[in-house]
Amino acid sequence: MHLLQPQVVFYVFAAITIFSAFMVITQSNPVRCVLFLVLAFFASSILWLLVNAEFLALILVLVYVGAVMTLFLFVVMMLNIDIESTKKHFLRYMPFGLILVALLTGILLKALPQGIYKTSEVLPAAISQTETNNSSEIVSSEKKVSLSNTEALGMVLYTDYVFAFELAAVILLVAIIAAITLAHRQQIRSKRQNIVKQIMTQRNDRVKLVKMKSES
Amino acid sequence: MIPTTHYLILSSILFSLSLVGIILNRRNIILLLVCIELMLLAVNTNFVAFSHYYGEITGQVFVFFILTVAAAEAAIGLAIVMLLYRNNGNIDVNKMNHLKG
Repeated sequence: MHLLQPQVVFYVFAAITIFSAFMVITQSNPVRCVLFLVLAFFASSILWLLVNAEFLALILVLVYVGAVMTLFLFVVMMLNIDIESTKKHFLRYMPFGLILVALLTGILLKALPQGIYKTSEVLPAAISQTETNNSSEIVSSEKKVSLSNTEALGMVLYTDYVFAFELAAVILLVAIIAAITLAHRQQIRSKRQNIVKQIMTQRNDRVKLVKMKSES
Repeated sequence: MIPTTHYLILSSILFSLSLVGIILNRRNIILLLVCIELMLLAVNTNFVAFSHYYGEITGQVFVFFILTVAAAEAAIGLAIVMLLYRNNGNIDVNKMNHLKG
């Protein structure tokens, strides 16, 4: 019974993922579309949990759903887009789209090599699970088991891929600067002082002497 | 357990759905960005499935970098959409023909 359980979970959440992807491309309301995308991310994070990618599944929920999708929702709600005009156009091309989906999926599946990826067993783990009398292999398999997914990812990320990791940080910095530069609007009501203008000002600009008779 | 082929089938269906979404949707540029995110999700699912199949952690490292780049892309793309809406008043893809290309 417990052997069947991951398969049930996989098929249920794969169905949810495909359903929500279908709803993403058919919805006319952008807010609903982004919310279905969030559902697709949740379902596929559970699918990632099934193949022992716990860290990435949690990153997908925390960073993607928590930050990027929130950004999408903010932007979609800030812009008011007319919804009605999009719907009629889409329904006309819907059968064509479904045929195209079937065709593309068929091509992609045809490109898979036959019979190689049928099993789900991890190749090195399958070797280490078999009972061997060699003591060194038992030690190495115990060492492999003791590392969690996050630890293993960190061991690789900070040694072999440290340069790529720093490049990723630079990409994020560039993205911050670019997004702020693009979306920043010049403040009209800003009371910020202009230093150059303050220094370069003359006495004649500010003070004006007016001669007038004294009232008796 | 689940065969790796099923993960590949799932991600190919996701990828082709999002590609068709990009082709058919000509009105709203935000939906194009959403479809690109869905496409990246399909590719990441492939990477994770192969990483599990081969017992290598490297595939998950690549997923990590793809997530980073996708976050940067989403931020810059949404900033461009904001700028476009501020200048044009709509984000219709069909009306972006100022260059008359």
